[in-house]
Amino acid sequence: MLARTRCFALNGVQGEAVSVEAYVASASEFRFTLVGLPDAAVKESRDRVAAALKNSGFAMPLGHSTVNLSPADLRKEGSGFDLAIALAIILASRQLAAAGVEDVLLIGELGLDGRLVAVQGALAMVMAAHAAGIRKVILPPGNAREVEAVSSMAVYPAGSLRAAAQHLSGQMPISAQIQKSYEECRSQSQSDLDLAQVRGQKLGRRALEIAAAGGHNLLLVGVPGSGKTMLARCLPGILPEMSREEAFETTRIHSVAGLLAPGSGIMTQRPFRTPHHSASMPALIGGGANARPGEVSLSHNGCLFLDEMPEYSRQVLEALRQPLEDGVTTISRVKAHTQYPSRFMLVASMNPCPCGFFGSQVRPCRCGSHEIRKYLNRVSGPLLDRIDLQVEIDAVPVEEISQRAPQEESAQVRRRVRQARDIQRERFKGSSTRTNAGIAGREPEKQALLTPEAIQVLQMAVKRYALSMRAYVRLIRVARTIADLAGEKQVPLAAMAEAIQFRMADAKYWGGGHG
Amino acid sequence: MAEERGRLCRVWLASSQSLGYKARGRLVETYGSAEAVFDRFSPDMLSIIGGKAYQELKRIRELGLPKLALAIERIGASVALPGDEAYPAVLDDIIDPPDVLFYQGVLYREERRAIALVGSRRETRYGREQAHKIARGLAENGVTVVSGLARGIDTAAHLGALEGRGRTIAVLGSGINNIYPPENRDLAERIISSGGAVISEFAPGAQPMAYHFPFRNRLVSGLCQAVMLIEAREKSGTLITVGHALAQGREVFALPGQVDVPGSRVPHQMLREGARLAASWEDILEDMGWSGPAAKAEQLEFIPPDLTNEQRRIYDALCDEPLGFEELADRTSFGVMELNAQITLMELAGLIQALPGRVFRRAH
Repeated sequence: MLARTRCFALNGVQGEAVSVEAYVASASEFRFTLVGLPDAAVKESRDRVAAALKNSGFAMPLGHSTVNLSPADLRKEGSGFDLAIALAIILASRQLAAAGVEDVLLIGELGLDGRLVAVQGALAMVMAAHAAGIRKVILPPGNAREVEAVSSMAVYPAGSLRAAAQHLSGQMPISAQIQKSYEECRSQSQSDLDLAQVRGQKLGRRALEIAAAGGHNLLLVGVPGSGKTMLARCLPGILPEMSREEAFETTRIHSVAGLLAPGSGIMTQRPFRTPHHSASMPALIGGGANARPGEVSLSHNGCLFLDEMPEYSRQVLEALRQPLEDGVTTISRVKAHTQYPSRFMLVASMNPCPCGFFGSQVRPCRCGSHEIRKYLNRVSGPLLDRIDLQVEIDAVPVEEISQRAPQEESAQVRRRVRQARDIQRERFKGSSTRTNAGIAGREPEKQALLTPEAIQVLQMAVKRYALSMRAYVRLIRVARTIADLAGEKQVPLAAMAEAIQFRMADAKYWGGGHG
Repeated sequence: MAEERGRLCRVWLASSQSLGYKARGRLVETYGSAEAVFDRFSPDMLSIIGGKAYQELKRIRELGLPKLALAIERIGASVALPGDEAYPAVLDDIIDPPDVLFYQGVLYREERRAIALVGSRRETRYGREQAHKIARGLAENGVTVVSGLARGIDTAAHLGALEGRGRTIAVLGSGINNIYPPENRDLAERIISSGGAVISEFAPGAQPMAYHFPFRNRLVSGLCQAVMLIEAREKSGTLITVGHALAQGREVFALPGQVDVPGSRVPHQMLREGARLAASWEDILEDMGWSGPAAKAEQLEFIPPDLTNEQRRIYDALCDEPLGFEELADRTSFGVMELNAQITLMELAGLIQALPGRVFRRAH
């Protein structure tokens, strides 16, 4: 007879419906064929399924068993089809009677002993199934928590093929996992670094707050040991909490990339990714034969931190421009063509020169101007143009670290950031722009509501520092965020004047000015 | 007319990139004059000059002298021969004076006071700042600043002289129309348009060959009454300039530097061997006997203009020394927002100046 079960294949972070059809024809010899564009891991499924059936009290039927993964032209990867294939065979060979199996999503890899093993991308499959109207899912216990925030879904964690079969036949039903609301999942523990631990660094803290409030990319320039990395790590803690949608998007990507540890729940903390500077293009942007998500996608809705930016290869840095601009990364490979969301905040740090001490008050710099220029030129102008906030930070002398009074906590800063973001949400209602960092296009002065005095001082600065058009727009964005943090409707002179300070890094280092 | 033809024949000889200066000398000596070489040009000369130079000269000769004159005009260059109004008289006294000078800008027979500022291409910030300051001071006091348009100290010296609205001359180690390094093309333009000059004794189009520079350096020192050395590492080409200066009887000054920086070693060695120590442009003027009353008149007390109370606090805090942002915030007890805004306004008003590393100082 013919039996059909349901599962989902992954295409990037999207799940695509796959129905597994099994047909057992009586014949004198044993044969088991698997068709429907399976990749190597799916083909191996035949052997796993055969062993798992045996060890779960079922038998591989005699005769010709044919399993078809439909639609047959969709590429299928991975081991997540095992459970659906095994159950389809059991049903087709009448070893089990169950009704309504076609309404249940089946996810899971089989061990030879019949146990169910967690798979990658479970959340993406469940979300796609939910969108397709499926309301029940059987999956390995290791994937259960990952989907606990998906509402109106009955999730049955099954430890083995046998448990899944007995649940479907009604012999021994598994009780559904109690689903939680996203708010319940959101753990109270914040990022382990708190701004209160950062001593001194008034300017760095301020830049961090503005960056978080307006969604601006941030470049920290400073001598070695000035605390650039520590500051950057505080950023997730002052960004607003992830919304339910954001958390789902981010978790889905991490799940597809296989970065969720089995048994872990939905990600409620914004990701903070720190790829090493030897990272290759596929590692950062995504790619490989199967078009895997890269760091830019893994930091979706969070931060991508590039420590010592000039040390990254030029090619890799240039490739960041497209995701920074579009918020999605398109990866094309011979076998796959995939889009991954990649809306992240770029936080970069760098030394001012190869030796690190250019401009330091503590130690003299030993680099020639040519060496410095060569070092700085590794970061291209077009990339810098996409970093709204650029700030130089001082090293805090060691003896002062213990003396300085502890400062504001992350939670307080986050409150202000959230208020500023609320103002922006209201402002950009109905447009694709989300934060001030997205202000672009015609008449940015009008969009940002600059006062005449602010425009005047901006024009003075443009003339004085010979700023480019892009730099001009960047100043307007940052000034708008500063005004939002202060709750000002229009951008006053003071906000613009402050914004101009956050451009000094490139005016001095990259402007080619003398001295 | 005959004289004009003789001149062009000399330019013709100087226009071959492959013809070395010694071979050129032998050629002229053998045949009596450049014009004679031109007229009696034949493969016989291959015994004196190389095949490449011969082919090159032959090609230009076939174009004809009027075409050559036109080509030089096209690249915007002029030509000065010894004895010309534009040929600096000081060069008559040096060994191996160039037979032909290609130049853009203005050259005088009697150059006024001139100082060569030379130094490392891999300079420190200190060296660059001092070169800039000294060149500026010299230029403001009517001294022509001569240098080599190289990266580093040379560039700083030219820029300083331009800022002092003075005259500056760049002596190239490449063809007049082939500015090297390329990033200094703008600088060369500015030097020319501000009444200075860019000069080269090499054939137009010549590449900046390594062996050009030591040879070129005799002109840098030759054009001046004194050479000022700012930072040089051992084996630096700058040493050759100093050697030329001594041979030519020019005064040598050196700027002291930090003792543990490689670029200080040569200047300090020079000082030990009897170079004059110059810590400022005033020192140079004084030692050269050029400090007239005119030089002093420029120094005016800087009177701070109207400041708001907030700005006064910042300005006062910066009275002694430059301060970093954090320190400035502590001393003025301004919040970050307020201080940032005030700094911008004061910078735009030209009251204070930001240095790398977010260090601020009063502007002068």
